[in-house]
Order: sequence, then structure tokens, then C-alpha cells
Amino acid sequence: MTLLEVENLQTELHLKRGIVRAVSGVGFTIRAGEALGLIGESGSGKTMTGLSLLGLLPQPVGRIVGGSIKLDGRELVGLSQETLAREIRGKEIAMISQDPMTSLNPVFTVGSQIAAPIHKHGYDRGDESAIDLAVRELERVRVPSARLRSHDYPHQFSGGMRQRTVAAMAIGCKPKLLIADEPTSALDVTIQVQFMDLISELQADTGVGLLFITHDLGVAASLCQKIAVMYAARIVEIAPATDIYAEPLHPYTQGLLNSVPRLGSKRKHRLYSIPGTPPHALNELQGCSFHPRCERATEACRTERPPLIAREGREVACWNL
Amino acid sequence: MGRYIFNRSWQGLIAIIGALAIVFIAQRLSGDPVALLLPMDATEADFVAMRAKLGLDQPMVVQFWRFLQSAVVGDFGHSYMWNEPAMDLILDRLPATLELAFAGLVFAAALAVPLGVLSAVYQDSWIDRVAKVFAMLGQAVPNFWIGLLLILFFAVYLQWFPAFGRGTIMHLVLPAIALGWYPVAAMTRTLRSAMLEIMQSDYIRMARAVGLGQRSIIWKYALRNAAVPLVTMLGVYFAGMLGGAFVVEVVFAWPGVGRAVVEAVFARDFPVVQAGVVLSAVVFVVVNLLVDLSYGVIDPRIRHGR
Amino acid sequence: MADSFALEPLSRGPGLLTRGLRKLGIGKGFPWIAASVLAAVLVSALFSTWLAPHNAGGISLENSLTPPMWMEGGDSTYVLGTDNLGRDIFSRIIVGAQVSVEIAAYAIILSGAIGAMLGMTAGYFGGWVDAVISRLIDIQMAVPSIPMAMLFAAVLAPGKGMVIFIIVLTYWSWYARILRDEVLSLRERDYIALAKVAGVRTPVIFARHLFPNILNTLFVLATLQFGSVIVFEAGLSFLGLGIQPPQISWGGMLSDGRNFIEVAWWLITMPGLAIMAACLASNLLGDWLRDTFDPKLRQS
Repeated sequence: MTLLEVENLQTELHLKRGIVRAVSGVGFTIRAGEALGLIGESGSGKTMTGLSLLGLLPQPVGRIVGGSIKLDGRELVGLSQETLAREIRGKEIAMISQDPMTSLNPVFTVGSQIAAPIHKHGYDRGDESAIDLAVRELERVRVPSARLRSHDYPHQFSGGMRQRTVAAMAIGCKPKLLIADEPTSALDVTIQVQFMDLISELQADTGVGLLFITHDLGVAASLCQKIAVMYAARIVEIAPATDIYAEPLHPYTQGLLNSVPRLGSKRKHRLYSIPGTPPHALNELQGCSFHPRCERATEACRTERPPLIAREGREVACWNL
Repeated sequence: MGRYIFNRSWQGLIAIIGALAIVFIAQRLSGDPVALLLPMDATEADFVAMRAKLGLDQPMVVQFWRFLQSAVVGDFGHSYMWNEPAMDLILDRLPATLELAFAGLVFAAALAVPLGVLSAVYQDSWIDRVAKVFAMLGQAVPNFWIGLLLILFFAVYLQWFPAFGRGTIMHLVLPAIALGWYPVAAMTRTLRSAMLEIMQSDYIRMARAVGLGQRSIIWKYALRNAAVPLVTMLGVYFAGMLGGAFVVEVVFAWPGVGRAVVEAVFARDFPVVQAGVVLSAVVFVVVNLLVDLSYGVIDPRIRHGR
Repeated sequence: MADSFALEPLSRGPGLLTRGLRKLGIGKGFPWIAASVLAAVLVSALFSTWLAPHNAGGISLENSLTPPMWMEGGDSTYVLGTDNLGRDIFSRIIVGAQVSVEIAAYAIILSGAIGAMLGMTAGYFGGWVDAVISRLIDIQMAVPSIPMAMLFAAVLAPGKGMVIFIIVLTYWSWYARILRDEVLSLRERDYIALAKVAGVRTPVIFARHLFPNILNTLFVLATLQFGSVIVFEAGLSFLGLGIQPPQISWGGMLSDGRNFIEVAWWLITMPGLAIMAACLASNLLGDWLRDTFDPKLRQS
């Protein structure tokens, strides 16, 4: 049952030096309870995609200029900020972002911050107060002595606990979809693992759908059923996770996987890195965005942009398959 | 936190002693501190007594020590204009000055907070532009001139408010505006920068992401984050207004410390001058100290850490 | 302000208001009007005797309290009207500029020089020298300036010298603190270290290497200060503690005019406008200089 359906999403950033196409014709679906990994390097548009879903593009420069986002069949593009705040954010879709230190307000207690959306969306109408419910969420994310610690301030929490708090704040109103934008990038490796376990558990418990945005292929692999790879504001490959890792089809995906250093590789060769650099944000290339860096580039690649071509249950945007 | 309090208090004490030292030096600058501190009709006996009290034959350090001793008990000499101890006179007038400074602060804050917040939220809109122009004018306009213009306009022409004196709230309005005018500019600017930075922060974005509404985000959350620079400003400008009050009091004939000191300067009533100056310095230092200490209350990070 | 995802036209470029404000010095671009105003003040100060249409001190009782020329009862020879003694306001403002500029110039140069020396010394040598000087700076800043001015006004003879003395006493610490910070960062630079190793004597290091580098900061500070000093001096003169009559000062004019506020509004308005214009112009020009040459000063 489809939870989220994104079709041909186009988002632009109107900067002083020009218009940047941050998201260009992105489309994917997420089913209830499913986890989709959105992989890409910085500047590929993955964060902007996440922000577009919630209408949280930087104002006044960012705007969605085309496409559709349907949550449970309801169109989100075109909704006003007030409607989004009242009905969608926190309630239907929630977001965790990268740095837990800065995602929490330093002058408010942890408990009050988790309670805030609960109260705003009216989940505290029953017997329990918003704070009580907040404490429960803290317990759910495994913060010890939750009630006591709910009176603490963010700086009194460790990095891992802060990220859990952010997670608690996000799922407090039981949203259907959680967007996690590089939630582990700022954490130590050991804490990362704990956090990933927590996310899996939350998914299992609540059945929340997950859009997991990251540049880290390994992390995405452990958690997601489906992977979408983004390059230069477009999706270049979508496939089930096992398929992508076993046999990447798009040259960029292949390059990414080749760049990962592997333990135990016997041959001593240089670490592979994809030659060249991603296109400048203001330049729209003709043809395939990846062709300047692609070994298999042909004349067709230079002149015509490949759409996503369906192949064996996956989609790949490449002429040379 | 305790260490912080201790350090700041210590600094405050040094500042007060510094102020006293400046007064002491000023006394000596005049050539004859005895003549300075005695009225015109003083007798030879008075001169002898004062000389002994000041210890003029002693080394400077001893003299300063004696001065400090008198200062601590509030003895700054006797006003010959009013025939009472100088410090008593000044203390009598202190409530009036504090009232004026406080009113000025309220006016400044009442204007600066909405202007600062709105010009940050609606950055680059006409509100922002107006606020910037306002701020710019405010900093270039001397408070005594604004006072005169206010009198001209609101007291003489419109006759809405009295032009001088102290008594009812109506008497307080024009002087408060004249006094509070200057800080509005700086406060608006500081608040605007603080709010701009805060509105860009991740935690505000997170608040948006969980569905909190724009109004409560601005006035309940972001403003609270701006509380630290805001309170600092309020405190610092309150302290600054004590100096500005000196001039505004003269313009509006407000019976406060400032006016008394200015009159004393003309009347060569030095004991009153030094009492007034010392008291102003002490209040100034104390207010700044309180502002610094209030950080701990407002910002939980400082309360727990340091 | 309702936001939506609707397609909207892009920003239109600087509008009329912005362009107008820029000419005034708000926003980017050289503040032409501000610079001209400041130039006008300086020119008035330097050439007051030739520029003033009337004798600024000339009493002419039959012309007493003439309104400005555009008003009823005004006279085109007295552009901005006259005071109670029939003296031309416009001329008095021009002559008053002289005193203000003179005092401001001396005061700024002296406080700049003293502040710079002390600040640079503190920054360069560090140690107990820095500790002592920093302490002095702290004390000076911890003490309110107007009461202090009163204190010295009470013991010193009134006049230009006293005003300059008080201003220097108040403002030196500002220069000292900022320049101390500058030198602190400069002293880590390689060319200073090389100079030291080469055995260059300290005063020469100061003069040759440090001073030229802090010069633009000094210049920006001086411009920013100009308006502030003018207001301060006007305040003292207004109270009767600064420039004494019959010397003409803008503050003094305000004080005189105050007695006739009910019948002659121009007596307080005109000199006040002069003060405001001078201060505003120097603030704007100073801001522009600072943004162009020394943006890191913005924190102060």
C-alpha cells in the first residue's frame, strides 16, 4: 500500500548568482513500513528532496516549481505553510536532521521540546499531559531515567542521547513517514550502530515509513529495502537494496561502490575514485549529467538525457546498459 | 558558577575603587582640595580641621586610604548650598533618577522588541527598512535635543504633556522618551541580528519540521533564545541611561541626581558633585554586575557548566 | 505573509526606495550625501569668516527673533532667522562649526594617539604591561562618562581645553582596546618575527611595521567617533559646562534658544539639525569606511 508517491518533483533555489535546479524530476514511492535509502554526495539534491516533502525549503529562495508529492493520496504541493504545519509536519511526516547538537533548543528542557509537537497536534487531550507522553517517548528511545532526565537541558545529554531525543521529538505524534537526513554523520561509529538499531526497532514497532538520506552506502544497506541513487539533482538508479549492491547498473553507482575501500582485498591498487567533479550547480549540462566523468560515454550520452529506463524490477537512467 | 560570581564581583569592586581614585585625583587636580570642599564662608578653624581630616601632610597613599575610609561610610562632605551631608542629598534624589531611567528603559524596550523581531522576521521588507532608518537616526540625535523638540511639539504646541517637573505619569512620558531614544536604535539592531541568526538555526528548523506554527516559533521559542543578548542589552543601556539622565533631567527640570550635580557644578558645591558622581558610578557598576550574573539564570548552559 | 509553493516573479533588483536610501548611505555604495554633509561642515569650519553672511556675534536688537525666511515675517537676509539679540542663526551655525570641528579634531587626534600608543604597547608586550593597561581600560569603561565629565568640569576652568581633556579621558580606552586586539593578532605574523630576529629595535618595529597596518583601523575609528564627539561637546556646552559664551557653539545655541521655545521654534531646531547632520554623516561615512576597509570591526 503506497504511503508516499513522489512524481517528477522539481525544486529550484533562486540565489543571487542564478537559479539552481536543486531537484530535477525526482520520483519514487515508499510503501507503508518500507525504508528507502536516498544516496548521493553533497550537493546532489538529496537534502533538498527531503526538505521539499515537508515544504521546509530555505525561504525565500527555495520553491517547488513542478511535480507532485502525494501522501496517502493527498497532494502536498501547493499547500500553504499554515496547512502544512497544522496537518502534515510532525503529524504525518517528520524529520530528523544531521546534527543533534544543534537540532535541540538549548534554552528549553528536553521534555518540553518533545512535548511541544504533542501538544500542538492535540495528542494530549486524554488523561495524560503532553509531558507525560513526552516521557514515554523518551523511554521508548531508551533514555535511562526518562522522567528525571526530561527536566534536563540538551547540553547535559551526550551526543547519542541527543539524537535519540530528536528521534523522540520526531515520532512523538506517530507520523506515518520519517525522513532521516544523515542522522548518523555526526555520531561516533559505535553510537551510529546503536542509533541504527533504534531506528529499525522504531520501524518495526510503529510501522513508520522511512526515507533515509545519506552518503554512506554501508549504513543505507543495513537498513533499507530500496535504494535510490541521486546525482546532480536527478535520480539515476532505483533498485531493491540487494540488487544494487550485488550488481549496480548505472556507471555512477558502480563508481560509488568501487570507491569503497574493502577489507581483505588482496590486490594493492590505488583507491578508486570517480574522475572529475560533479557539475556546477548553476550549469545545466546537455545530455546525461554524468557523461563527462563516464567511461562508457557515447555520442548519445552527450546530446540526449537518458530517462529512467525500467529493467528487471529496477530503473536506471543510462543509455548504455 | 560560583567562581564566575566571585570573579565578576571582584572586578566590580576594582571598578568602584577605580572610580573613587578618579574622584580623588580630581580633588587634587584643583590645586587645593581643602578650598574645594569648604564653602566660601568657611573659617580658619574649618580649614585647619579639613586639612587634618584629609591628612594633606601625609603621603598620597595615606590620603587615599583616608578618602576610602570616608567613602565607605558615605561621607563625601557637606553641601554648602543645601546645608546637609552631600551623600544624603544625593540619595534623596536617587529614586527620581531611577524612576526616569526605568521609564526610559521601558519605552526603549517597548519599541525595540517588536521592531527588532519584526525586522528580522520580515527581513528586507519595508518594516526592516523603516527600522534601519529609525535606528540610524536614533543614534545620531542627541537626547537633549530630542527633549527640546518633544517639549516644543508635545508640550508647547499640542499641550498634551507638561514641559517640566515630576509628579504624575504625564510628567514622566516626555523625559522617558528623550532618554530612551538612543538605546532603541542599538537595541533594535542587536535584537535583529540575534533573531536573524536564531531563525536560521537548526533547532528552529526542527521546530518547524514538527509542525509548530510560525507565531509561536517567533514569539515563544526564538525570542527566548534571544533573551540572553536582550537582557544584556537592557541592563547595559539601563546603566548607560543613568549618565544620559543627567542631561535629560536638566532639560525637563526633573529633580534627580543629574540635575543636582549640574547645579552643584555651577555653584561650586564640590561635595555634592563628588557624591553624585560616586553614586552614579556605583549604581552603574552594580547594574552591570547584576546583568552579568543574570546570565546564569537565563542561559541554562552557564548555570550548569562553566 | 502567506507563503505557498506558487510560482512567483523573481526579485526585481533594487527598487526606488533602496536606491534612494543607498544615496543617503544606507546599503551599499559610497555615501555621497553623508560625505558632502561632512565636507560642508569642514568647509564651514575652515572658512567660517568668509562664508557667514552676517557677523555671527553682531547684535541687532531691532531684528530680534525674526523667523526663518520662508515663514511669514521672515527676511531673506536672515535665512534661518535670528535669535533674541538679532544675531543671524545661519551665520552662527557656520561659525559654531568651527569650534565643534576644532575641538573634535584635537580630541580625536589626542585620544587616538594616546589610545593607540597604550593599546599597541599592551598588545605587543603582553605580560604585566598588558595587565596594567587592560585594567585601566576596564576601569575607564566601567565608569559612566557623563558623571565623570561633570566631575572634571567642577574642578577645571571651563573652556576648550577642559572639553578636550574630558573627551580624551572618555574616549582613549575605545581606541586602546581595539588596537590592542589588532596588535595582538599582528604580532604573530612572520614579518614581525623576522624583524625581531634581525635585531630591529622596538620603536622602529612600532613605527615601521605595526603602525602602517593599524592605520586604516585608526582612520575608520576616528571617522566613526567624529559624530559622537560633536554630540558630547554639544551636550557639555548645552549644560553650560563646555564652550562659554560669547564663544559660539551649537550646544550653547540650544541652551540660549531654550528660553524662547514658546515663541521661536527655529532657535532650537536649526542648531540641533546641524548637530544631527554632522553626527549622522560621520556615522554613515564611518560605517562605509569600516565595511570597505576593516569589516572585522563590526563587532564593536
